[in-house]
Amino acid sequence: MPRWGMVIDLNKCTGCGACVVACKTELNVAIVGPEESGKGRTMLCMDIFTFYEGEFPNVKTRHMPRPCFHCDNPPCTKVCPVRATYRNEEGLVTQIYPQCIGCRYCQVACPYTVKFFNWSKPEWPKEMRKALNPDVSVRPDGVVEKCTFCVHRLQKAREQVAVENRELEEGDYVPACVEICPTGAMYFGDLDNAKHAVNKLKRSHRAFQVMEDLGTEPKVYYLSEMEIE
Amino acid sequence: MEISRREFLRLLGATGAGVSLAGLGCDSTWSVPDEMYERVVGAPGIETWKTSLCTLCPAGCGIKVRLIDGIPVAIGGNPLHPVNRGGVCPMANVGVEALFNPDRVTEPLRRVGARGEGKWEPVSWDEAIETVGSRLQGLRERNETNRLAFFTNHDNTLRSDLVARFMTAFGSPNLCVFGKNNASTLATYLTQGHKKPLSYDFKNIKLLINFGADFLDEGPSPVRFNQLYSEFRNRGEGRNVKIVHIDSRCSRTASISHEWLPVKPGTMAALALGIANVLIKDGQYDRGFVAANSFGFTDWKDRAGKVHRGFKALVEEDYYPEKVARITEIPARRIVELARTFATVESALVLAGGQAGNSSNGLYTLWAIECLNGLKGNYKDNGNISICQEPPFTELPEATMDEVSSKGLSRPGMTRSVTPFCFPENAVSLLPQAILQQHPYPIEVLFLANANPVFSATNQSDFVAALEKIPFTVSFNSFVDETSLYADFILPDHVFLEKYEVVHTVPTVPFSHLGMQQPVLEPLYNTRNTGDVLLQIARNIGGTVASSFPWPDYKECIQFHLQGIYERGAGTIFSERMDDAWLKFLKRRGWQVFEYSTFEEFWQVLLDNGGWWDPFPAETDFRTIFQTPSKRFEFFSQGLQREIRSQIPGTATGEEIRSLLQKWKIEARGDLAFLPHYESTRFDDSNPEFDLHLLPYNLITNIAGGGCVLPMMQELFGMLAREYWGSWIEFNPDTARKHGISEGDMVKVTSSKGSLEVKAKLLPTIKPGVVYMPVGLGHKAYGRFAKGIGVNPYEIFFEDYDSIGGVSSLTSTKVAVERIRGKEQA
Repeated sequence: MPRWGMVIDLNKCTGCGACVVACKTELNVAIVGPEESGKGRTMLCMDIFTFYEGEFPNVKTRHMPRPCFHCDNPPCTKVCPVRATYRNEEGLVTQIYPQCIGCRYCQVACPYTVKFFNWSKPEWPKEMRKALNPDVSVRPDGVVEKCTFCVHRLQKAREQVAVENRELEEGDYVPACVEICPTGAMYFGDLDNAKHAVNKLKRSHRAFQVMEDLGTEPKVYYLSEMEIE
Repeated sequence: MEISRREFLRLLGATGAGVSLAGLGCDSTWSVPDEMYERVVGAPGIETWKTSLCTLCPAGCGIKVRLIDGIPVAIGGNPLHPVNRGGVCPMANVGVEALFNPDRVTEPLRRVGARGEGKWEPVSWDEAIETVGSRLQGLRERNETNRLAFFTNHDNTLRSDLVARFMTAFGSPNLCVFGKNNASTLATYLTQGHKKPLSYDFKNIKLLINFGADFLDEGPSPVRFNQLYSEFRNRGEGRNVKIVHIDSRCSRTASISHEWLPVKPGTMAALALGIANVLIKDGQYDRGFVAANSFGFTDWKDRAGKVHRGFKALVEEDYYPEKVARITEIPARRIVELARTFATVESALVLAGGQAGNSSNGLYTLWAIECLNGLKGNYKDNGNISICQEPPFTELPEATMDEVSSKGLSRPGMTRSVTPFCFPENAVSLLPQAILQQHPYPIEVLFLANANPVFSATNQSDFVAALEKIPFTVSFNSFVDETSLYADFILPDHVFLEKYEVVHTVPTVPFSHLGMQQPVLEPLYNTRNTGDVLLQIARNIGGTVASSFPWPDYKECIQFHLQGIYERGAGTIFSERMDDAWLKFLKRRGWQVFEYSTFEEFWQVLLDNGGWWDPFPAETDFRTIFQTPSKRFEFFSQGLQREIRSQIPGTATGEEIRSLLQKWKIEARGDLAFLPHYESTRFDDSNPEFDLHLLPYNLITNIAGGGCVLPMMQELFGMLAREYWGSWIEFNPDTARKHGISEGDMVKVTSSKGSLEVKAKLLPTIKPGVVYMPVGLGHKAYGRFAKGIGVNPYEIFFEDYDSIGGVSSLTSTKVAVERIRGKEQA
């Protein structure tokens, strides 16, 4: 059984934000508008954190793209009273929107703040509704959502390889953010499969996970920046 | 897919949804909500991909459009395109929002209300073109073709070439190009004698010094530079490129660099010359290149035997590190360190942009920076710098001109008459002055294509006054922007997904290339390609104007241009990435990667793959690029000397030159004026209370202003700063403390031009004493997603110009800030 995971090379990432936007369009994440945004309700399944180290003039800015970490030991699924979020057999932490009662326990439980609540029904002008991604349903209001590792793409890839009568290979299933990254800073694949790049990269001396000490066992690894020699 | 009413009802019935129709807010039993209709129509969900080009900004990246049942839903990069190599920026990714934006202009409009009011009535294309044509015909009959002006932006498209040809054929010198990086073109002109864009080869470099160019967030091609910067850091042990960024703000470009030198605004020239000083003192410059291929490095004698000062003497005397440190506020030690690294690495490149060119001493600054490339000998054969090569298009015969056009074209351009500057074609911001004074003649007809000075100029109110004075204005935009609000007619263009276009010769790209844009769907509305409309107008005028444009439509015009490439067999259509050696091997034997035997087949392959490029341009002798009077790289500019002399009738006396320099507000006198030097920057000194420098910066979510029609980009405008749908102002924490401002406070920013209220952000990435505001928000038009969101800093920018080039200075503004209310009350 594959264990899907991601590696993000911070030495390659320039913080351009293409992943953030590709994610929003792929998953039909709502554009909440100025008023809701002002209340801190902007929805970003993929986000970029910016850190400043040091003080002027010796300051170092670091960018860090942050999807859902799809933890192997996820804190969010444990608090869900209705099993609207659970870890599936391939390790993806998935959401069942119709089952969600909007209690937002999981949003609070996630130490990485990856979850968002649909405060209102996502709306688009009539003309723009045509441009939504037909592979992903638009969420109703009152449910929590987050990065899905574009699991709908996995379903499609499965169908495709079944038609072609072969096994799923690296590159058949890639989330939108990884696909769009112009600098090739993001890698995706089966962490347990020695043929996949992520398997090797996660063992790099530069690899780290975020807040590993919590025991969440995140499946997103980062490769730290290198200093110039 | 069409669905009959009966079938549709059957479908609804089958799902039992018929009962719940009332619950969905339908007023009658039989009406069906659009959402449902769309869902039923969209049922088969067949996915196709089409190759095209994004022209939301001038970079023209190759894209792949994902269509579901013929409707575009997403855009990704075209991996075959050699400029963006499969990458796209955030804007291109949501480009379909521009297509489906509900506030697009859907049909030709005629103004009914007052100018600027935004009241329109629909009008037919025939009527609109007829009216425009008769206006132009009138100008021709009165022999006053020069009274037509065209405001356009610079976008590397074939359309801009067509516009230029139209203006020549019609006979008007008033083609005004906005947004072109004029200052750097002029620096190239002074040192190398031509005004073509330069291309850079980064293959072998070990060090990149960037003077203020925010390549990762703005032109010429942000995607390419994001990839390049990333690649510089990941070439592998010992082969990485060290990047040093010089600017007053640690932009994203600077944050990806290895070192950031926070320079005082407007002092980059001094820093560049300080580096030159160390190079020259150490004797560590390219002596061979400088001796054989440069002019004015050492002191020299003119024909009359008079000795002139050379660059070397100037730099040695005036720009020693300690003095430069005082001017630039960068420690002398770091200047020396940087200069020594620059001198000792085998291959290094210096680039400039942004603040460097946009200041009152912009041209001298860029010139001084360019001289560092000269000292490093970057122009040699196989060097790092050459000229961008245009694709070998079919050579067009010159536009034919009758007496009327030749006469019109020979009149002086509007800018020439009012600008005191040496290179008037760049001083587009001074146009309102000329138009208002009607000097030397009034402008009667104005064409607007994607230029929006009422939003982006520092003297926007002057532009409004000028637009109100022009009797007849036509805008060729897809949206009603601030400038188009003052137009009499709007002849809407297609959005980039609906039309044919070619983008070629993007500056800085080291190989000749062109990208093909093709419609991915039928136009949604009653819009027309501006290229087609111009051709139609030319045909209606008739005579030599019509005969200069023999093509029935714009697509054929493009095909005509490409015929030359097909016939010459140069270069290759974009293909899967191949080994360079293999491509070269094929090429040498005269083979093509693709098979085609007719032009039609060539055209189809070209559209399918997205464009054409020539990875191996013909090698030219580097000396031919120097077209200066000395035919060498000029440290001492004889070109500038010549330009200045040409402005004075007869032989220029020293006195006359002095008074001219005074008029341009240049402090230098004598030889110094013709050498790159640090000219102290002029700031708005009208009020001593204005104690902070205000500078603008751009974000990747709004490259060249294109993001304002994309709601996703408006929401994510400041995604790294975590500011959505709004503007902010950035302070260094020290500066903020001195002014009693804390994070999130609302502050009032006041300049001599006016004031704005905006949210404060405290960041350690800003130099103390300087504040920065992102530009791109604060629209007064452009549809529901743009109007009234955020503020436009250009409204309060002080108006000043580069002393010689006439480019707007964006570093001269000084402001006072005052806390209005805290975060909690905001």
